[in-house]
Amino acid sequence: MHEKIYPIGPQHPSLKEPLFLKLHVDGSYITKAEFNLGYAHRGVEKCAEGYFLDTALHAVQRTCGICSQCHSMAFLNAVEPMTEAKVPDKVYLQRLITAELERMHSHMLWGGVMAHEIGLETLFMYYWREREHILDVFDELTGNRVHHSPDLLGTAKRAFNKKNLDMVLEKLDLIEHEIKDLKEVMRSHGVITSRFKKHGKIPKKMAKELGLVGPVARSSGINYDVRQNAPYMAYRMKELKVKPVIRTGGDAWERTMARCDEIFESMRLVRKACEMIDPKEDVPKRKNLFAKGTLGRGRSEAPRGENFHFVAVENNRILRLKLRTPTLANVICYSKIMEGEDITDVPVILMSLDPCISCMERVAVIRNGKQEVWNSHELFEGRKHD
Amino acid sequence: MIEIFYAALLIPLALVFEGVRRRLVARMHNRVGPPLLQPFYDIMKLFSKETTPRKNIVFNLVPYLALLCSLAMILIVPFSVLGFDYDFIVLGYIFILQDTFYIFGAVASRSPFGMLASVRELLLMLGYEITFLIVLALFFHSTGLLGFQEYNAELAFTKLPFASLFLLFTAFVILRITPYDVMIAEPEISAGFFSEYSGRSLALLEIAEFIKDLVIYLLLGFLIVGKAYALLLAPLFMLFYMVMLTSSPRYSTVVTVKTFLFLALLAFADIFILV
Amino acid sequence: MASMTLKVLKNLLSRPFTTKYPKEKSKVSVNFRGAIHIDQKNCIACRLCEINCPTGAIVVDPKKKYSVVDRSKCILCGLCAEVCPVNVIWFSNDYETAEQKKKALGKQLPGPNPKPRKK
Repeated sequence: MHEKIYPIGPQHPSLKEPLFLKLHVDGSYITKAEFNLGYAHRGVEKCAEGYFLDTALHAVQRTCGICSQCHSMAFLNAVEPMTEAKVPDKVYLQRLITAELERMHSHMLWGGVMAHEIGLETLFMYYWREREHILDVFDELTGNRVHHSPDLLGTAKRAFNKKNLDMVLEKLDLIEHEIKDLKEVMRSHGVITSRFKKHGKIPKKMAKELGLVGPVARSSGINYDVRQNAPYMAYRMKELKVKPVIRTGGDAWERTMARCDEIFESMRLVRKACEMIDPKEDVPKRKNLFAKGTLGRGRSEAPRGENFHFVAVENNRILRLKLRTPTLANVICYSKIMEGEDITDVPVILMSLDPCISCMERVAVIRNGKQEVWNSHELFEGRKHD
Repeated sequence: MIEIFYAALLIPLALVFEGVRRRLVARMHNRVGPPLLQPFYDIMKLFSKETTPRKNIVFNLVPYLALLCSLAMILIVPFSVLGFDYDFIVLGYIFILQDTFYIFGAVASRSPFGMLASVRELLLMLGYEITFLIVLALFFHSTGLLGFQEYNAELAFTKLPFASLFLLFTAFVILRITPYDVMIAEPEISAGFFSEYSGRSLALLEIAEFIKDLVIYLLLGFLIVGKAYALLLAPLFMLFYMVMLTSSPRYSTVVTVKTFLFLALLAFADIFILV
Repeated sequence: MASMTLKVLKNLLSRPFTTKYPKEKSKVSVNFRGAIHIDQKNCIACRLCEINCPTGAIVVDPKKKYSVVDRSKCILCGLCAEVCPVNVIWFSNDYETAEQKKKALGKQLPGPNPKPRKK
């Protein structure tokens, strides 16, 4: 049989962001898959160059609309230890509440998109209806529904008072029952299980070899979560220890269930943090902080996995910013898991890895074709050991 | 001659049905939905857009031919106009003919989406078209008549329960309703039949689709319950199918094809039992 | 399967969740950063807002003590309001600020009297 090329092109109804998946099909089975990027590059790393630290923080938060708080937290993890800021606990707890609420809204958005891919538009509308309540909470707490930028270096823009915290708890109570129902539909609806199970299987060995992160790796059996293995900010407190959701199996259904369970885990953390905050305390006023030292690195747990920022500072301005978003680590397995599948299953597998292409786009400049590999010690010291 | 006036009124009625259908689906999604006359605005907008350039003669003719088939259907089903007495064989033939025109158009568009959609539709045709013809034959055999004008059976589902059930099933595929709408699956093949048409051609194809939907709703009421109640029951059948549409995702191609091949076998066995 | 059908029927008979927008306006909270306003009378033209803006949207004229916000570049991040030493920049929660021509985005929004800031 001669082969044809089937483009899941830069524009396609099933893609939310532009990417190019070139599938070599034989009849309706896929023999080879090639993956191409570069359609949504915006130059975020260049945008932040040359700015003061607070200004660069606001630029970095706008890398992605869905996961903006996790970029903020990774950047602050990189930069705040370089300054001599003493950050009070209330600010850490506020950041945790925003980050966990963002994880909930990102997983609900993803749940709706998955349902749309297999044709169940009703579930899409229901998930996004519940998500509206969380966006209202963001509006009240931080001032914006997406790209909420509540953080400043060492402090926050406003303190949450009792009315805000009551609203958070009230909205969580409102949506909890409905999310349980929707999870039950995803778990037990006959058509959904027949479409999701046994497709896009990632065995544990492949996940370890390719270095996958996030719920994708955790549903293949790898027990790694940045909030648990390298805790930062408020996750260091013992009442807010995270229990990551680990599943074995590694197919699309397991990933769906892992993300649905993570919503409930985040809900538990937000409720606990709301109890621990003192509503009458105020956050410190903004100070101009000076960063000593030149290199900083910070990690955070985005809804899609481990997010890594590497910052080089000179004269209190950013010299070079490098982001490694979690989708960049996960996207590499597309060419391996698509082989042997039917075209019908392509949107399901594509979306079950939860790609966020706009966060991910980076450019590598190749000069003279020479390749160098630096390890973490060399990266930290800033020079290559010979 | 008043029948011609009624027949001409059915075309705007088909568009209004589509508007009501969209509003109903939106209410099931817990949102407000478009205005009731939205299909009219859509068709008018499509006529003002640029049509795809000429590819080849088959591709350009298909929208007109599909619309002709739809108009022929609407003259047969509610009442035979112009004095011709059509029978069910002509009706079945026109349904298959319209589907064949869609397949021609999809293949002639030479896009990978069209190829896949046409392959899926061909596979499904083995299942549902045979069942459709057998079921129609069973209904008309039970009254001993062949023509639509003289068909007068009332409450036929009491005498032919299995045939009614098979008819309801095949209507899923003809109306392109999930869980059995693989040939128009948007996320996978970006609506393969219609992905290369735009402008005037797409407007004609959309009108053909709306008219076909109305014909099926009328046909279900006509055959299963009775001639007089067809128009009254059409909204109820639409409600039933929309509830099915919104509460179920799409099965994969293999499962759908197997289901309908099995259904065709059952219908074949039904010929011997005549129930 | 049955649970989904029951949900759908229940929603068919209940009120829609979405609002009919131009007739009923949606409610946003008081903290929403909808439109930027600068109180020109009390501005001291220290240019801190201009230095700290991520996109370069604010341009300050030091002689006339007048600052202009280019609303096509402003991303409503709120940093200028934080760094301003005399608190003359503030945000109102007016979200219907779209214009039909790009030149109109250079015009400043009048806005009601400034409200006192909490800090």
